[in-house]
Amino acid sequence: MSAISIKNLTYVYSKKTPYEKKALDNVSLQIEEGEFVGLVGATGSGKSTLIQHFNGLIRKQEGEVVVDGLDASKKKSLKNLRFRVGMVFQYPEYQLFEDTVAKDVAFGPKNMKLPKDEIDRRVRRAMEVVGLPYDEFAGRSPFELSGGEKRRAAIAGVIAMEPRILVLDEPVAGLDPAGRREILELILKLKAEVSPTVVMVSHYMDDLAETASRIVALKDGRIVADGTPEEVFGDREKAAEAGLDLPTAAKIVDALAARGISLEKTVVTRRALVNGLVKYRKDKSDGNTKAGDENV
Amino acid sequence: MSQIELSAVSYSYRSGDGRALRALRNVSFTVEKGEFVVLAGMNGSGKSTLAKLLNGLYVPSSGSVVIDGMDTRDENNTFEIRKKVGMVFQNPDNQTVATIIEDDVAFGPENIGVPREEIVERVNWALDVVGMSDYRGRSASKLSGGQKQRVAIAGVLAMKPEVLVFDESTSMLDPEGRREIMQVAEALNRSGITVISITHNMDEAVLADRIIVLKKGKIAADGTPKEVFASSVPEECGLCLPPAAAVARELGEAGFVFDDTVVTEEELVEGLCRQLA
Repeated sequence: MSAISIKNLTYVYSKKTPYEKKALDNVSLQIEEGEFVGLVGATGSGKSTLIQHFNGLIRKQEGEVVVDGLDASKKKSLKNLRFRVGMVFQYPEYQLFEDTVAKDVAFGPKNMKLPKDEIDRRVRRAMEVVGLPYDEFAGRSPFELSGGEKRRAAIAGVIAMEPRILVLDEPVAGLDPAGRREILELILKLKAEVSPTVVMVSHYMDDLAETASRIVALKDGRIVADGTPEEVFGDREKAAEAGLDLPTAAKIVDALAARGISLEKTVVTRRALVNGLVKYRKDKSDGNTKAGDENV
Repeated sequence: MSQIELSAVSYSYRSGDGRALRALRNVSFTVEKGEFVVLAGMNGSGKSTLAKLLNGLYVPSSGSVVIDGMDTRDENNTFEIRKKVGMVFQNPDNQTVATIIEDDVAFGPENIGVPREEIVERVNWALDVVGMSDYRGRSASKLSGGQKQRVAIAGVLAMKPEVLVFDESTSMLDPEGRREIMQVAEALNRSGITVISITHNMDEAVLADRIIVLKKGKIAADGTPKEVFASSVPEECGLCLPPAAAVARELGEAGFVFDDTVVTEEELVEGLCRQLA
C-alpha cells in the first residue's frame, strides 16, 4: 500500500465561469512510505492545490485520491485523514492562537478525542522533539516566542497528532539562514522519529538536493519531472523544460564544463561537487605523472 | 553631506507588559547617493526597524536620521522624506490599493497632487521600468507574486524616489520572481537610485557594493561582500555563506588554494580553472 496514491486527478477552479482555471491536469502520483518528496514548481503550477487533496481540504473533482489506505473522497474518511496527514502551511506561526504553548500543541490531539494522559504524553513528546523543552515552554505564551521558536511551536502542534505523513508548504520561507538550517534539520529528525513520509514544497533547490530522496516537479498543473535529485537535475534539458532552477552545485558543474573541466552531470549537492573536484584533481595528477614517466 | 546619515541611533519598542525592548543600539553609518547596500542579520537583529527609520515611519528614540539634510524627527520634513525614500515590503498581496494596475501605480502621485498629465507620464515610465506596461489595464489580483512586487515597485517609483528600500521583498517569491525583482533593483541602481535591500538570501547580498550586518541591534560588520564573507562575522551573526563561498571553503579544506576570497560562482569557477586547467 502506498502512503499516497493519486490517479488521474484533475481540478478546475471557478468551473463554468470566465475565471475557470485548470489547476491540476490529469495528475498521477504514487508516494511510498519512507520517501522524502520535494515538490517543486513556479507559483501557480498547482502545488498547493495538489497537497490540499492529501488530507481532503480540497475534495477531488475527477480522479482518485487514496491516502494511507483511506479514500479521500469519502466523507467518513475525512476526519481520520486530517489526523494521519499533518499539514504545515506557509507561515504556520500565524495560526498559533492559545494562551500557552502547551494548550496550542494540545489542540490537535484533543480533537482526536484521545485520553488525557495520552494527550499529555504527545504534547510533551512533540515539544521535546521540536526543541522546545516542555518544562521551560509549556506555560509560556506562544506570542512571546522568537520567530524560529514560534514556527517550531506551530510544527509541534501538527506533530502532536503523530501523523504518518507530514506535508510542509515552504517551511523555511522568511527565516534567516540559521533558522532555515534548524528547520531543515528538524524536518529530517521528524521524518526519522515521527512521520516516515514527508512531502515538502520548496523553492530552494539547494535544500531539496541535500534532503529529498525524490523530486516531483509541476508545471501548469501537470507533472513534468519525477525522480531522484540526481536524475531530475542531471537531465539538464528536461529540468529546463520543467522550468526548474538548478542547485548551485549543478550550475557550477555547467560553468566548469564550459571551461573544459567536465564532471558528472549528476553532481547536485555541495558534498558531491567537492568530492568530484578532489577526484578530478587526483586523476589529473595521476595522468600527468604517468605521462611524465613515459617521457623518462 | 551624505544622502543618508545615521548618528548614534537607538530605538526602543514597548513590549506588551510595558518593558522597553531596544531594537537598535547606537547605530551610525552613512550611505552615499547611488550605493547598493544590503542589510543582513538574523530575524530580530533590528533590520526592519532600521528600514522603517529611513523614511520616518519610525523616529529614533535617541540619535538622528538625516536624509538629504532633513532630520526625520522634524515633522515638517516627513512629507519630503517619504517622497525621497520609497519602501517595498515583503508580501506581494498587501501592497496594492486599487483593482486596476495603472490606478494602483497612480495612487501615490495622485495623493500628493501631481498634475494629471504628469501622473500619466510617471505611470507610463514606472510601468515601463519594471516591465509591466502590457498589464496596465489588468487586475492586480491575477498576477504572479513577482509581477505583483513589480507593480508595487512601480507604485513607489511613480513618487520619483531617490532611495528605494526593499524590506525582504523577494522572500515570498519563487526563484523566477526573485530574479525579476533583483534585475529591476539592479537596473534602478544603475540609473542612479540608491538601493537598500534587506535580505536573508546571500546570493542577493553578493551583488551589493556593501553589506551592513546587524547583530542584536548593533552593527557587527560594514564592508564589501568580500570583506564581510572573508571574516568570521557571518557565522557569529547567524548568516550563511553564499553557496559558492561555502563550496570554496570546503575545497580549501581539501587542499585547493584560492588567491582571494570567493563569493560569487564566477570567482569560484575562475579559481578552479586556474588550478585544474
